[in-house]
Amino acid sequence: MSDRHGVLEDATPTADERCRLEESERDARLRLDRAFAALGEAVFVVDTRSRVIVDCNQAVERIFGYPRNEVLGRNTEFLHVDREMYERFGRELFAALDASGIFNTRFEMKRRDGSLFVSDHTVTEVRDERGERVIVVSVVRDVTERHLAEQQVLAGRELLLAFSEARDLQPVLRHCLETAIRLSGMECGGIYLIDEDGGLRLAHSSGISPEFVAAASYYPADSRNTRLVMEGKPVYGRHRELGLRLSGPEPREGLQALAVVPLSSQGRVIGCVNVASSVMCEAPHSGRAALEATASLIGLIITRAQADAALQESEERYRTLFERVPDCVALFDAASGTLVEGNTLASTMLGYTREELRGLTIEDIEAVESPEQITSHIRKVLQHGSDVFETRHRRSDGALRDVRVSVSTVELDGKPHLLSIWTDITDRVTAENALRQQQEMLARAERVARVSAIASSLAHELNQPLTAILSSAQAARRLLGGRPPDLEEVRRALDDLVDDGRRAAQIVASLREMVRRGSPARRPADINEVVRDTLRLCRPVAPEGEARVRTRLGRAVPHVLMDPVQIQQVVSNLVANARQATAGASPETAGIGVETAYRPGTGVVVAVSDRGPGVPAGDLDRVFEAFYTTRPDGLGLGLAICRSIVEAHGGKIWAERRRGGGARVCFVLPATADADG
Amino acid sequence: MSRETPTVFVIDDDPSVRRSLARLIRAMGLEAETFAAANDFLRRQPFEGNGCIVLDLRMPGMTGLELQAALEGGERHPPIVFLTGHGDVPASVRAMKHGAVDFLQKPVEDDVLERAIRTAIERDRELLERHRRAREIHARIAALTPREREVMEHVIAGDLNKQCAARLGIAVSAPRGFRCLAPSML
Repeated sequence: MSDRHGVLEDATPTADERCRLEESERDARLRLDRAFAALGEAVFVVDTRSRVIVDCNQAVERIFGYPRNEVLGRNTEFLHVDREMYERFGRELFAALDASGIFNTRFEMKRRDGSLFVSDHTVTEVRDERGERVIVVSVVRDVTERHLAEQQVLAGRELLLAFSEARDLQPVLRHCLETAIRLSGMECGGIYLIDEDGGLRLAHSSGISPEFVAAASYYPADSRNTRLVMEGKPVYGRHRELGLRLSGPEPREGLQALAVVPLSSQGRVIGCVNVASSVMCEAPHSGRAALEATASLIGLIITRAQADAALQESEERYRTLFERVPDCVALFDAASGTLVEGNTLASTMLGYTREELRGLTIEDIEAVESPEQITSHIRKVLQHGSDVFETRHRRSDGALRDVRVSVSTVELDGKPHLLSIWTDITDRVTAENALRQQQEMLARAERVARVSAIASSLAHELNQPLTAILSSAQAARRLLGGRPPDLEEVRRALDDLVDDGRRAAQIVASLREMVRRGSPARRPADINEVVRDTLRLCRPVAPEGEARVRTRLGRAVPHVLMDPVQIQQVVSNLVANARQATAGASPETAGIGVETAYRPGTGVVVAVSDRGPGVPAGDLDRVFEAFYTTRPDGLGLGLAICRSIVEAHGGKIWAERRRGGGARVCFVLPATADADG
Repeated sequence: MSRETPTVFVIDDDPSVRRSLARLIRAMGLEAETFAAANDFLRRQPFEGNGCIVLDLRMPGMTGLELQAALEGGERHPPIVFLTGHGDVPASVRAMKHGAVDFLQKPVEDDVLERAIRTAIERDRELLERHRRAREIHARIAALTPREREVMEHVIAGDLNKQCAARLGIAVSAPRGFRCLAPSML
């Protein structure tokens, strides 16, 4: 410009020329002014040193709301959000101009009505002849609309991403936080979620140091921070002014502006998103509405992500269950009988791969039922909802396996399916057969034992009347040889003989009853009576002079449905065992006890105890096994027989160690009173 | 001592056994007394006469072996013949060790029973005789003067008359005289 002046002075134009020049210069100036005024951007010419506005265009009024004359001559501070921002703007501006002569920035400014807006600034400088910076020309463009539009596009994209990854909570949180930070115009933050205790737990953070994360990772339900969030209203301010306390030591990281926006879903606060800045003094107002609008969306997304994650977890759990159950599991389509899905165990057991398994039909697997039987079986299951049965499965190699199947109906995709769970019981069936054989053997041995016990019992019981018969007969013989014979006494002897003979016959009859086989005659009977009868009957078995039996029979013991003869056998076996255990002990220390008691809800308990050597703790269950014996001459069948009888009565038998030494064998029979009640 | 008919005490809990045994024993020409339980016998007045016990082993309350033990603790008692439905070896050994005359099995032949009973009665008679003699000697010793008793003790201890006389400071004729007299004194 100075050059041009020089040229003009040197050329000494004519008045016309000057006039024309002046005119054209005016025109140019006018055009410039018009253009200056017509610019959409606000243009400020600012004195560098005082930062006073020297000139500005008309757009200033549209953008900032101030008439041009109110602006001219004023320091620019009033256009900034606050003094701090004003000073920062200055620092950054001069640094940039010194470096490159131009300063581009996006900054928040304040309108006349106090509202804030985001603006793009392009600032250039004008230097004088000495190279001193004299003025700066600042072009300010209101980009609030565009800024928001841009941000919302980005936010939309982020949230879309978040949606697409909604199965996993962490990426969702990351996207949500990035969106919130971008919308807010700040640079760091975190998302807190309410945990099951009602406290706020930091679920995700960005841009803050691990120390700060550690310090601010949790706020309990009753903390001020949590209560503030639970109120559901956004809070903006400066970190320090808000008075929010950190949960740990306070590495504030120079955070200044802070925005805490509660996240809610279906009217319930689920957490909050905190956005902060160490640069800005206050959360930009322009972003607040967008942040708040997005917060509700974020709340929904997070809730859905949580639900999805939970669903996925439960699906995984179901899948794990499906795979890990120790049984074979398969799902069949009920209509076609086709296997839809089976677990690894099912494929292993049937000898097919998982892929081969799919598409098999029940007919391929079932080895016992005919296709017609299968169809009617399926119909029955669909009708009742479930069934448990034993059958045989055919493996891919043709081998047959015994299985126990538990099947239930399930509705999947609107179609009835059969969920079949089965266990290979081939080994069990084999074992059962072996057991059955063993039991038959036991039954045979039991009969032998019974016969010998009966023979022994018969011998002892008959001894008494036989003794009397023999003695009376021999006495009669002697009496008849007397001089004179005492016929009266002979007659009395004969009367006694008849009585004793009858008594012997009665004993034989009652023993025959005891031997009688066939279906056990069950009737409600008094256990105490059975115990008394037994002790009377089995008394002769006791070697004389050995243990006496002390009885303590419970009162008000209800009747038990039983075959009294069989239960007598149990009691006599137990008493005989106790006697044998205490053989050689003095009558005082042998101490055999028979007790009965009624335990409501359990049944009638009979306990036979002795003070013998007892049973080793590890053998308490084994004593009931057939052929378990501690005696050199024992067969080891007595307790096994007892168990089979007691269990046939729906009862239970067990052995204990008697306190103070010895053994105690108890059995319990269900009382009829309990069955009725 | 007594010329009375010996008495057999039958102890058995079975009434018909009791009655028939008593009848048989009476037919043997002996007295019979029956008891249903061992305790009933213990409650009876002490028996001074000649007799024996026919005892069942297994009874409600006190058993035969317990009764035997109880009788042993007291004074002289009639010898015991066990009669049992089921004699096992340990019980019979124990019974015999403690002085039982016999251990018989039910049912018993009458002559076997009679032999056992007679043996028991005979043993009781001997016991009774010894008992009677012992009592007489005790009575005579009690009648000696203190000096005579000193002489007796030395003589019983096996001292010679001389030694005895020297120790007691008496004439040699005194112990000699005591030896002559002793049989009639005691």
